[in-house]
Amino acid sequence: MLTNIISGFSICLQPLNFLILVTGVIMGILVGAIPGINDTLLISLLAPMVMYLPPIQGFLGLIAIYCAGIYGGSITAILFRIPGTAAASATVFDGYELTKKGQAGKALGTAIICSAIGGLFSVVMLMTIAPALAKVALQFGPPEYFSISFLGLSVISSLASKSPIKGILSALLGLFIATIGMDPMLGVSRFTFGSNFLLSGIQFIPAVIGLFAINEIFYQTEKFVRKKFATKSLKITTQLPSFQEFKRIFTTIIKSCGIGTLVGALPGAGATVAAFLSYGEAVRSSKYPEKFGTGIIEGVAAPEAANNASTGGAMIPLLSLGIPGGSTTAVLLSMLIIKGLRPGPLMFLQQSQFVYSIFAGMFIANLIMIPFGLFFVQVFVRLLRIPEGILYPAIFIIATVGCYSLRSNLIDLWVMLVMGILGYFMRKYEFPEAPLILGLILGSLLEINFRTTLLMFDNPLIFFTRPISGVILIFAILAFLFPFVRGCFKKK
Amino acid sequence: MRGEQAFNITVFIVACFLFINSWTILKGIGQGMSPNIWPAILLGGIVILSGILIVKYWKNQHKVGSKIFKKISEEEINSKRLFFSLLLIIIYFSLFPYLGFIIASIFFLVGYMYLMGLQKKLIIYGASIFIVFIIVLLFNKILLIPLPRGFSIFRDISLIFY
Repeated sequence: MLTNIISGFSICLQPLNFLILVTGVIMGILVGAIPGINDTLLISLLAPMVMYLPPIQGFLGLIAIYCAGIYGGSITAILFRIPGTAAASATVFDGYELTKKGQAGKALGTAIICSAIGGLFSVVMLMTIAPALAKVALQFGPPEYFSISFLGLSVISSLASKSPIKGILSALLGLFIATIGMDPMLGVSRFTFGSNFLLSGIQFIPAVIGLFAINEIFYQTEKFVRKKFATKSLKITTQLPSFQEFKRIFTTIIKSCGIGTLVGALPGAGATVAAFLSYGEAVRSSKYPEKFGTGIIEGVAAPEAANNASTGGAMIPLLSLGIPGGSTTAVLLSMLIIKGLRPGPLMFLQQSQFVYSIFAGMFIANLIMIPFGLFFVQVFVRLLRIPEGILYPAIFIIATVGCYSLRSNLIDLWVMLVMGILGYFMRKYEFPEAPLILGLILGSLLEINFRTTLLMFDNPLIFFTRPISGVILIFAILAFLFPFVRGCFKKK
Repeated sequence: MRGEQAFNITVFIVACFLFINSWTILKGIGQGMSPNIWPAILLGGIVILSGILIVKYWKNQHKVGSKIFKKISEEEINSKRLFFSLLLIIIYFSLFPYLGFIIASIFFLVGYMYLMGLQKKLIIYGASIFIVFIIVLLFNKILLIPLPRGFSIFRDISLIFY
């Protein structure tokens, strides 16, 4: 294995291959930062060009875009409250609050370092224990997926500790919105009111952009602007976390890396679920959970480490079993097949040079993401100097085009607006937004796996009798109740 | 805050309506949970919780009394500005497919910048045109994302650029 790893690195460090990695990282960061445009779209657009390149070089470019694109979404999430990718949604909660406190540099520095660590961790896992992790992933069936989703939801109690009723209501709203459209199992329409456009359901990206960005624009518009120009004399430089801060968040990073790698290895779960699960775990295990959402670096470190760790995790089922974990890995799988490569257990033996070149490429891409990420942050940060009267309308137009670009469907714009209005009122009356987003992400997973389990086993207790599912579900229930119990003890 | 109570009541009423509507969803043939059960459970929960919030708010109002002291803040809330911005957005989205991206967006940006308090015409019109130019370049030319061209003469104008 060591020989293969060294061979992989030597291939990636050849001048042309290294240049391809650098280009992929730059494109990934830039595209990831644009709301509505994600790495999947860019990889799909570049796929025809990759056809003309040798397999290793073509795949290295795509892998670099994939790794860097996940990080790129955090830049606009932190600076403008618009997650560039769905996976950066959890970063908004504390990232943007840090920007409001004038600590955008610290938030961005934390994001880049934690993203790189997450990516590197998952690549090391990929190199060493990919087949073993793949076997674990195969043990997960519908009951386990339901339990994992429920575990993700259990974080509501931590996120909405001030008003549990509002938090649960917000989560139920999100879960309900996820049911709009065609029933996933029987194909009947639900709450579409005759509209063909709603048959495919409420898309996640317009909903999140509406809930975060449009909500913020309404909020800023409502504020009285005393000066004609709300000028800013911001000097934001990216600050990496100090040694003391790094020591403080180290445990959070490692846990998030583990969560991200494992969740990424589960087909269908993805970087977004990983980010929210790790954010929830960071809240739950923190000595100061009430500080999350007010602007602390732990709130940036957890989701960023997890979402980049999921990139390596997603490659585990792809390369070991030929099962794509999500839309991006599905495109990568198609490229592998077109190039005549067959993913599966034998790939590690028969195509070892290719496989270990990909591992080395991911490792190098996560490393070179740091200097380029720091550079591009300086570029994006200058946008904060733009007067609010120009900046917010411009952000609105970019959000509009980003939503429109998904399906060239105007209904996505109206969804964005409605969610923006909903988010505005929720913010005004202190309903937490995070549980709604969680409900939206996890709703489909919860429902499909719940109904599939009942169909397969016809026994609701199966969730507890299957060992993996039972352990996760009991942990989720305890995690849900723990903040209330802790709150009761604190009052006494 | 009466607004909060209005919000709770709105959520309650909409959830009740959707809950009743959920029972009209086609049941489907076959085993397993019917498609309407899961959303009905969620909507039932929303109805109950919003009902609790309504009652809680009403009880708190009676306890605290009707005097609510307004906090004097440095930032005054301008609800009229918000209302007009919402109106502008609705008009923009409605005209988006007919005027095309360039014309509709320039009008929108000019209107919104005036609403945000900018007064220098050169900056408003210049910034609007520049922003639209950058977006067309980035999204349409580089990323090959199709943008609406509009109809009739607006389509002809859009075709000059993309």
